[in-house]
Amino acid sequence: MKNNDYYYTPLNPSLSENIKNIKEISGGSSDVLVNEFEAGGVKCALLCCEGMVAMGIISELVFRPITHITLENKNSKALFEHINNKLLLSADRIKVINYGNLFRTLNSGFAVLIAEGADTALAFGVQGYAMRSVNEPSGEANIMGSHDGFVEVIRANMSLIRRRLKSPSLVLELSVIGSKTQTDICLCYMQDRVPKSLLDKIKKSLDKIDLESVLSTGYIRPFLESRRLEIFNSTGTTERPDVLCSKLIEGRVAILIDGIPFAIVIPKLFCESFQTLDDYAFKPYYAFFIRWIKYFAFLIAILLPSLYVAISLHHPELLNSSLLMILAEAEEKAPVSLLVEAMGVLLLYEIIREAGLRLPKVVGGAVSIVGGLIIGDSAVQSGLVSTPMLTIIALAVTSGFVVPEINQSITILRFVFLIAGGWLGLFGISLVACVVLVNICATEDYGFPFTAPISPFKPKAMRDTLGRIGFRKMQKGNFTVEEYYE
Amino acid sequence: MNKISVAQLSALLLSCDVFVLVCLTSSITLTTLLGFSIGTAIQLIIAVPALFCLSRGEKISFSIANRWIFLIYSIIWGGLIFIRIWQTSEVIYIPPNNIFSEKLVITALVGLVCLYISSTGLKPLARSAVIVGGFGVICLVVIILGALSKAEISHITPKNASLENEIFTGLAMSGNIGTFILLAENINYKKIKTTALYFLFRALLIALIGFISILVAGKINTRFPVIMAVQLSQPIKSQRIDSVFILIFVVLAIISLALQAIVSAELLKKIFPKFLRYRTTVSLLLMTLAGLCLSDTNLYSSFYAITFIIAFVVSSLITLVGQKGD
Repeated sequence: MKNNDYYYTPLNPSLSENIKNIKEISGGSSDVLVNEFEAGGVKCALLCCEGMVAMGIISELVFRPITHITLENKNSKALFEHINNKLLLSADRIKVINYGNLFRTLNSGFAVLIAEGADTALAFGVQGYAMRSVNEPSGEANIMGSHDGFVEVIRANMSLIRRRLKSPSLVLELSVIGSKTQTDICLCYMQDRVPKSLLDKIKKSLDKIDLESVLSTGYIRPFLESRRLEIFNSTGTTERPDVLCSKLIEGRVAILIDGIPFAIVIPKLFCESFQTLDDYAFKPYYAFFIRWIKYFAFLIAILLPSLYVAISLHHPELLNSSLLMILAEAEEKAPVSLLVEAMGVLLLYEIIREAGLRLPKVVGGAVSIVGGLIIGDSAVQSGLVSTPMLTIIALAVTSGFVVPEINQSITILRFVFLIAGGWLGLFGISLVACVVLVNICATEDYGFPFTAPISPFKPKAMRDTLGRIGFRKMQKGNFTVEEYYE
Repeated sequence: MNKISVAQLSALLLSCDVFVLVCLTSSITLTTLLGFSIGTAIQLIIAVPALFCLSRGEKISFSIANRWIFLIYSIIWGGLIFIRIWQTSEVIYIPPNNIFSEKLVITALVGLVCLYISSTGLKPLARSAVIVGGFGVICLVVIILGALSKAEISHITPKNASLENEIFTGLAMSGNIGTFILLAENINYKKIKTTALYFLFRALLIALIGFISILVAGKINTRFPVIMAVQLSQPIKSQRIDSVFILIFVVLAIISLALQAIVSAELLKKIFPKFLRYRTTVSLLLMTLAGLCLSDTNLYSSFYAITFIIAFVVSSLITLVGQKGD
């Protein structure tokens, strides 16, 4: 049997033929274990993947009871009926009808029982593969909230959500995508809150996915977003189950992917990039302050270097005399133009950041020393880079980290604005600002404008956008995302 | 065209009106403000027949003749916007280029941006206008705060200005009335309320900006009184914040031009249904051509005022007559 043809081929009633086919399809893989035995007078075989199953559970809870079965009618049908009705063996039992199902369950940590004379098989959930424990998410740290984060195992993630959202309205629908990886994905939604049209459109989008493998959220997100070039992602991701639950209660849909500790959230609004769960743990006045810090940080992150270069190069009359003297003195020694200097420093920062991200942790300290102290300090002392320029760039990149969810877009926009400002001054910055603004306003997936609730303007939603009102007032909202649907 | 809300339509048109006002090259006096107010009232009266048709479900752009009238109007008005951008480029300062002329660089860049904006449709532009409007309100508040210390009541001395000329100036600046009539077709409801709100806010905004300009820059002999007033109204003494105003101003210019490009592209599509591609490019090129041809004319002359009035009255009559014929 060819490797590609096996998927929909039904199981063979002959046990020996089945085993032969399984070995052929798996290419004689060493981790596919085949244990042949007799149960109730019926010849059987239990298949499992080494390292994927809990051996102790299989021995005690599967092998021991199954080998002690006595049957009146010694055939596979009676055997399976006995197991399903009297023995159970596992709470998670799946009927396998073809080789595609068989290998998918096998590779998901199930033990599969095939029997002589049966053209179906029974799979028992006895997973025991190694998995990371639930830890604090690396990218979405907070102070007052929980420290749970999603892990790579989809079922563990499902339980993290279920534990927080005990409502029976919560639906977790499993399906499979990826012709080779057969990756489990889970569609999560509250059936009494989610707009039906949104759910249907998302399911249609998922049905169109025809990938071989799904190994990251980035594989699926393009299929869930519009084909139009969008600067910011119109789908969100989160590593936190508590954040995801808050989104689900608002009527959004989430997608969990096996092997990835991130959930995709649809729809996403631009203003949500500036919201964290900590905002709802602090007092409203502090949350208001922090929210506006983030808005300003976003503007500083993308505009500060370009404004500095544009004003210094093309509009120096806009600077006051003291500031002008300081900048002129600092830039006097610089061998290159302000624009080239700014681009160079930004690129250097990106190289150091990427190096810090990729290299092993043991040498991470060396990067900090080399990058920050030696390069930065030496560059300034030698006059290659001026101190004001370094300060501006440092301020801009630090501000970008205040909104990590959109940091990638901020990084690119920073460069684009810098080039526009350096070449055409404030006029250039304005042109790019127009393009970016219209691009953001044009982002609209599944009928939910990305710029809601600012435009289209929803006054009621300002209570959680411009600031954060107290929960006594917010509890009367019963807000769902359907209010933004156009 | 996409359906837009009342707030979005108002924000779009008010952005364009503010841009035109900021580009005003004649001096502003109390007579000017009075003339503009009367001009606004005349425009409201002109809009009544069109409003009457719209409230009965008639589409002004349904008849071929009206489509041509509004297409020509849109291209001319777009050309006038281009002229205003070229004129104010002296104040904004575009870095010099040794290869191409400044006008060409501005036209090309602005045209490219408008082309992209038009490709996204009317809704994103309308949404952007609301956001820009919000920033504009903040800028206005900052300007008012800055103007408080610079304002001189003595600037409010009526000058010998002809009220008739000021009325014509006000009417010549009201090219957006045509766009209003066309876009009002795309509002789902409350057309009368929309019209009233738009004209009211327009009158208030013009009066406010005009008044600030008089108080701050009334006696300064300048080509651009509103821009001069903004430059003088700095709330922080130690550092100018013109850069923010320049950013907003250019964005308003782009919104004004992109709106005309979208409208004329839509009209081209209705007149020539087989004209599928490059409609916006053609519209922008025609507007540039119109701007070049009309660059030596007086943008605030009675010619434009009377032309716009006649165009809108005629279009409304065509619709009414067409309806009665049915």
